[in-house]
Amino acid sequence: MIDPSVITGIGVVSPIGIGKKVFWNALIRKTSGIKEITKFDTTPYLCRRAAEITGFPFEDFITGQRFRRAADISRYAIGAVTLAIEDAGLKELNNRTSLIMGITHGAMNMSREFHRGLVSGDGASPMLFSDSVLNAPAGNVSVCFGIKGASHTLVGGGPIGIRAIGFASDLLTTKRADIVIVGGAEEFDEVVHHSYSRFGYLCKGNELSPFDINRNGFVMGEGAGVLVLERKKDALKRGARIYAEVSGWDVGFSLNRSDEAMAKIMGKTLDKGGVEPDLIGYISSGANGSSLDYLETGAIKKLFKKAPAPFIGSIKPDIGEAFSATTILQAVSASLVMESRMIPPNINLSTTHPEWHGLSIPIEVVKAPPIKAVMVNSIGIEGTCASLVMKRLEV
Amino acid sequence: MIRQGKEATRRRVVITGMGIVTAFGAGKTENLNGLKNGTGAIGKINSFDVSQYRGKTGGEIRDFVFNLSLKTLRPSRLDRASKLLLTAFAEASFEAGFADNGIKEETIVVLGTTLGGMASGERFYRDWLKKGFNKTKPSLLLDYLAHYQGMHLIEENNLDAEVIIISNACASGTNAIGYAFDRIRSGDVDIAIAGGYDTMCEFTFAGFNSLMAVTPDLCRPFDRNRDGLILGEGVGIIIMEDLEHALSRKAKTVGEITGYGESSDAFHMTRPDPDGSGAALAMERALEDADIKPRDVEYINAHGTGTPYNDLSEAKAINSVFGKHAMDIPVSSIKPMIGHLLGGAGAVEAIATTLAMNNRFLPMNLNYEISDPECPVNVVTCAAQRDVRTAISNSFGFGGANATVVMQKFEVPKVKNSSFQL
Repeated sequence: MIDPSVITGIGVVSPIGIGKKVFWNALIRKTSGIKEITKFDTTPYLCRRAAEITGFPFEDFITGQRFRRAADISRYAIGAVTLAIEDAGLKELNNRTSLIMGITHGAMNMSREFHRGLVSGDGASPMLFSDSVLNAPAGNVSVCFGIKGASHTLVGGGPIGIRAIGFASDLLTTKRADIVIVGGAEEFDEVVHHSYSRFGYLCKGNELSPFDINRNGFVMGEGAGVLVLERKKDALKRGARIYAEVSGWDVGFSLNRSDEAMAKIMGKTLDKGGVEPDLIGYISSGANGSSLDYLETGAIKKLFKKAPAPFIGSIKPDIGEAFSATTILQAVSASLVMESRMIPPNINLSTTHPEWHGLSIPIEVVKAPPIKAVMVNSIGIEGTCASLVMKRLEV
Repeated sequence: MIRQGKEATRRRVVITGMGIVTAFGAGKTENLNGLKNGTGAIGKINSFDVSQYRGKTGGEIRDFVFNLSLKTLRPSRLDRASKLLLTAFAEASFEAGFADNGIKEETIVVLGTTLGGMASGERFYRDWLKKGFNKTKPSLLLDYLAHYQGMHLIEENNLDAEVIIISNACASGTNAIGYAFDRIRSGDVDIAIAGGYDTMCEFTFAGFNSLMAVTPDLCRPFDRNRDGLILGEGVGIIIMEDLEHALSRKAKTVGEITGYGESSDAFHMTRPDPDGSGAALAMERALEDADIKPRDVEYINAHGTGTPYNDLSEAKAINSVFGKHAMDIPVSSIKPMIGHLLGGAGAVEAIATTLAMNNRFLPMNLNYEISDPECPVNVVTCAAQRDVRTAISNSFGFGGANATVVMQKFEVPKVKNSSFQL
């Protein structure tokens, strides 16, 4: 008998607010965290905006000096884990608790400063080194909260957020862990902004609006999203609040950049989750205005040909593109869609791009009928495709 | 997507192909000879200027020639890590019988790495800090990302695969094998490509030096005078398969993985927990997972970095897990011979352990001279003839990640009337 994983806790550190309530209200109230960049001089760039986190009240979360000095990415992760643990009502973390972090670029700020030390001849800093490695956020979280089950750092683009949720669920199924804290975190840094700018991925002057006819790229974001996962039986037994069941997922690669691969992955995700397409009430789209968005559009059109078209939304105009962190926050918002029966509006959208014609992309809040299942999609710029299906628990 | 635990399925996970590149050279033959002869491959580092560092040596792959003829990728654009990975995969896939037609079925590629394409990252940072942002090549930043080497592997080999990159510092390679093991044993996939890699980079060399973790002398794990590790570089790739799947396609089976365990110290970012409890938990879990008793283990391929802290806590953990049997079990670390391969360590050491079992010897713990009463383990001081059927390999990493894999010498099942028919 399969005992599925369920989400019992949510933690959010985002450019539109800290905590799931503030985050959700901001989405509903059409707030965007995208503003003029404050972290560095933007004169050389066409894109001068990003969704930064400003005034993060880290002291509210952590008192230890050690973690106060950690890189932003680790601090965001610690903040979001604190909130998720609290939300799940977990009293004790032990050696049956695991941690999975999805990371894309890691602590670029400290990595850059470490290299500056090497190039300038000032020498290497041990603190910068241990905090700039890819598994530093997971290491910091594990030490900070005493998580003695395995802690894993998975590396990839946006889709790694979905893989991390899948990996976490696998650990529960194989009973290698009883509770898994799974998150994504990223920090905004000039190196990354510069590079995506040079690749031509970033918006040139206009707003991030992936479904709009004038879409022309994304803007960077930062933050952390964290979920607490448990086996359904355990969660019911301890009377935990259950946001959603993590029913199915699939990740793959589109070698030839065709929507067939994404359609296959979304189809397998529905199959594995035992969900018919007509059960899906909302799709949290991974579209970010970049050149691979059509993979998802084509796949949605293929898969939902017969079913009533689900509502589609992207939270990236609100919080920017922070890859793995954004994908986990997509899962957060999709869970909250089922709970609140409200579809957050797509901001910045004035004229829908022909690619998305015929699909249901609301620009105002929709009070929806009960939504039984939701889908979260993500596509990496390198061609990785991922899809996740979550179900509302029957009560 | 794993749907059931090990209780529900009885699938066995075997190794059908292995590929390896280390300071010993490229390929299993070079590495087997190196391991058997017990001659170290550590030398003065050539790839960057080491004059300002405390340690000056490492296990570099010298004279590495990338001579695969590529169908899709352009070799001039590849990071060293991608080249190593493609080379090891070609060897593993040849051994597993996929040289002609490739792997056609859906598979997963699970790789451990700490640095990804850091050689490209370093070039990017250097160009930028010395010449300014606009003189950099942004493509270097893509090659720097740790998921691009795996992507190159599936692109070049036209694999229908998901790439899963695990970056748990020095435990990464063993974690990768462990996750692939779970996916196959549970019936989720029939075949997986698992392993790990890292290249010699000034970033890590400077970093480990700044932590005073690199020895200016020799790496001597478990020795009383040990004073640090030596970095190396390399890659290990293994093709793992469901036994029935391997038999059905008449593949040669070279080893078996029977258990895996993992844990975290939650103690310190760069130091292991001195009581060794996290490491012990990983080993206990691996034995339980393999359904064997401590006395069944006949060889321990230690993480054995040669740092005072690691070896102390590993020795404590071994004693706590194996109790009165602890001194009966031979223990060795191959790191004094080829260096610490970070993300590549777990995979390369799993391959070394399999090679040793198949060739009936115990790899030696080079440079070990004076026993340390604080580290009471049965160190293998010279490459000895020995028939080993069950071994474990440990990997412990910064950030407190611990992982242990249990390996079994492969024997054709003797059960009659089963589906195991050759």
